[in-house]
Amino acid sequence: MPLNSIVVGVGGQGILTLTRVLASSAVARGVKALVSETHGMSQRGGSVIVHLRIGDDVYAPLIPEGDGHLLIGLELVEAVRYSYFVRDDSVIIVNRRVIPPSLPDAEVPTEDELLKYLRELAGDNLVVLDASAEAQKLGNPVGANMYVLGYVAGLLSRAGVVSIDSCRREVGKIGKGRVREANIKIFEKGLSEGIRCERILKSICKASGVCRDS
Amino acid sequence: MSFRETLNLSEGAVLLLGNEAIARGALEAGVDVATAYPGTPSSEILEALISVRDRVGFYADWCVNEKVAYEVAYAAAASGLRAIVAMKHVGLNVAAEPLMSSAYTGVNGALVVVTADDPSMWSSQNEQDNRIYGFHSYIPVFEPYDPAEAKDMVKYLFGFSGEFKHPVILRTTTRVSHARGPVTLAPIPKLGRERNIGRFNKEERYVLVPSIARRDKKELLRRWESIVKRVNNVPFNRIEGSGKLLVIASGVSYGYVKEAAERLGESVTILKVGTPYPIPRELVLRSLDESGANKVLVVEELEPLVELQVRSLVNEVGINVRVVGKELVGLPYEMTFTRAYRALAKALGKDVAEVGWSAQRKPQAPKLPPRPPAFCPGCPYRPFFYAFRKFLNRSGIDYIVTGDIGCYALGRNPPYKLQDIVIEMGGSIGTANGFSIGTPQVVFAVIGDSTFYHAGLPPLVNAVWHKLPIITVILDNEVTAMTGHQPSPASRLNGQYIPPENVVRGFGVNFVRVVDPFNVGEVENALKEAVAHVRTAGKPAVLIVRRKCALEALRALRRAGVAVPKFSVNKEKCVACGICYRVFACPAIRKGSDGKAVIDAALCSGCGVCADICPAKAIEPIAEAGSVRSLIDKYWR
Ligand SMILES: Cc1ncc(C[n+]2csc(CCOP(=O)(O)OP(=O)(O)O)c2C)c(N)n1
Ligand code: SF4
Ligand code: SF4
Repeated sequence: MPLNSIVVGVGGQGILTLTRVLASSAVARGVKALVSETHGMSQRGGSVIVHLRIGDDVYAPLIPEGDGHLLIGLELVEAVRYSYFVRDDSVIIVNRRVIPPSLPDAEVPTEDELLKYLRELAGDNLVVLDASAEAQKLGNPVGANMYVLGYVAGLLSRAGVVSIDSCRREVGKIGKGRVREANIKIFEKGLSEGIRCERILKSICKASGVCRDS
Repeated sequence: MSFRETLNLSEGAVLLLGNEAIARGALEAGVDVATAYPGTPSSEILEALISVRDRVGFYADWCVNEKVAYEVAYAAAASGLRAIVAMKHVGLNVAAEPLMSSAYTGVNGALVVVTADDPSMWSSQNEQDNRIYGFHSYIPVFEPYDPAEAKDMVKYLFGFSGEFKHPVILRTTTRVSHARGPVTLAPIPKLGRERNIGRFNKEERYVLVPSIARRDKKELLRRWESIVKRVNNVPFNRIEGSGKLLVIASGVSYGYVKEAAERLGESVTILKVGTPYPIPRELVLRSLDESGANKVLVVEELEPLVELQVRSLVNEVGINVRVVGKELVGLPYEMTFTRAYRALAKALGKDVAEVGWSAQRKPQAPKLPPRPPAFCPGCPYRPFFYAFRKFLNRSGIDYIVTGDIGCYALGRNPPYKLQDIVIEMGGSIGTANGFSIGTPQVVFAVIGDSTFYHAGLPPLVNAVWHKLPIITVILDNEVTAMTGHQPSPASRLNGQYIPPENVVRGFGVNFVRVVDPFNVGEVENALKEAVAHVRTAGKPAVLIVRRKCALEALRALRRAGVAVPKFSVNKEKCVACGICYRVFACPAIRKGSDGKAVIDAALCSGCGVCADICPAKAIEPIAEAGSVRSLIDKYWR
């Protein structure tokens, strides 16, 4: 079975970019990847979900419900919204960030409530990243996607399915001037964290069976 | 890697969006002319082609609507060139007239018609199945299942169309057009060369007067007969595997069927169909014969087009085999793994209750708020709808607002709730004509600039002609924003700008006002005057609400290296009335815990409208006010 990842968040958070770089870095390593995107909502603050499947036996774009091995959430409400895709042994990687929808009377669960639910789902396989905070610190307040990308790329390079060099090349083409420099720093920071997360790597490999010799 | 960068590559696999793969296929086939009108999920095909046209050497550009785009590509193909035209599924309704005729005349070069369908209506008003246009028009329909096949198919289709001198339809869907996958590249023959020039030989078959059309119809049927034979030998139709169940799968369904069969651990015979119309009849018969199947399951999205053809074929030939399809797969919406899996299990007589992955226990999730899309911060439509709502509430008139397709359709959502009918492009003015004839209500039609030029001109002429008292509001953000900011005739580009006010004055509309939506009072006044005009003069009025799309304005600021001006709330002055976050509803303004407004500087685009509408004058620019105004005047007109 391929590695099934669901990548979610809010329009404008750079979800398509994150997924595109991961998938092209898999292809660069000679592994097949298929991405299915939602367009249109991305600039208008709607909820965004992208399906990413990596492995040579992918034929179809959409991941079956309850068959996601990895849920990547750039925002916590959206991570919970799409959590019906995960299985008992899935890994959930989220950015610690709640973006309330722009409805004045919307009742939004707190960060703690959302994280508590995700922990009930994934147990020790929940990873909470301070991606937004790190990105802010390193000079691009909207660069959380670069941090998460780095983190996941680190893990998947160890799993033998994406090429770090290719990721670096692609990240180096995003944005201009100071934004680009900040993005590279943010990506590298995420990468340095992800690449040494032995335990989560094992969980991903166990859930998906996708890992190759690295 | 961007599409432009891939130009330099002539081998190896790269990750491409399905639509980029289609563009690449056209390049590898040596395309001469490419046209389109934007529409999700088709727009990236022409965007990709435009981005490289100068370096490759061919014509590529947007047209005012799908009918014109079709006619341009068709004429190029009639002149012996290789042409491609792309549109979303509903666009083919607009282009249906030249489509039907083009089958009668045929072409001289090659004509590839791409229709990108949208099962499940992710960004469309319906999910019509355009494979049926093939049946209707005698044009063969090809359907790829992933981006790699899409590229190969397009390239092949230029040859196929050229061989039969007949148009061909490439039908994709959202999950192919907006999927990314590895695509193996081949060289681009024309790279860096001059544009090819065609010649129209004026053959009689191109003149569809009745006597010639009758002759053409016979020729058309003769061509069709050879096409029906030929599709048995196209590489996109093939038999795989073996087993007593024959599964015939078309387009993206093929991938799900393969996955489902693997997951069920069952061996089945699969006939992968790349030509859903006409189906490869000989291959169907051969696959029945070779597999010894006693049952056929047809898996396809939307209408049972392949299924009906298979049923009719087995009937005709007199084969005793049971054909099932829609009763197991279901009809509406896009294909999913689950649908294919359940249908396959049922057809195999397996108990589907065993499916483990759907039967998991989940903890109780917290209740989540919905997250509908909203106008961007700084969108000029927000102050327009704010002013419009305020005007209607105050005036108390009995009104109808007919709407149209574009970003402004979001104006139907709370808090504005403005647009009572939205059906198709240009429908706002057309239905306004009818409502003004059929009801005493005051009728407003709201329509964007791109939509106005696409299909709004004839209904407005009708309103002037018949002196109908309708108020047309052209929301002129100078771009086709909804589909990804393609130019429109109202974009100020290369001197080809066509101001809508000139057009409507030319039509004979006497009441024409151009207003600035950032000036809420000006909009309210103009609406008031327009209502008075239609009531007294009994003739149409037109308001043109002009201000650039916020995303375009922000892009201009960024390009100029100018920081976006920001606004903030002065807590001392704010009286917590909620007008800015509840009635005006800019997503950058949130309700603080004390009910007072808070502006998220990361989201604010600095339009400054909230500062004007705040009754307590509590919203202030962070920088000096004068400089903010001059920035807006310079980059955001
Ligand atoms: C026949 C048809 N073609 C194309 C589309 C896709 N489409 C949706 S909205 C739109 C145009 C939007 O442009 P405009 O009217 O200027 O409004 P804006 O989005 O800029 O507000 C298009 C082309 C469609 N829905 N129907
Ligand atoms: S893309 Fe432009 S027109 Fe559409 S909602 Fe955003 S600002 Fe408004
Ligand atoms: S200036 Fe006010 S209305 Fe405009 S984007 Fe900023 S917060 Fe929203």
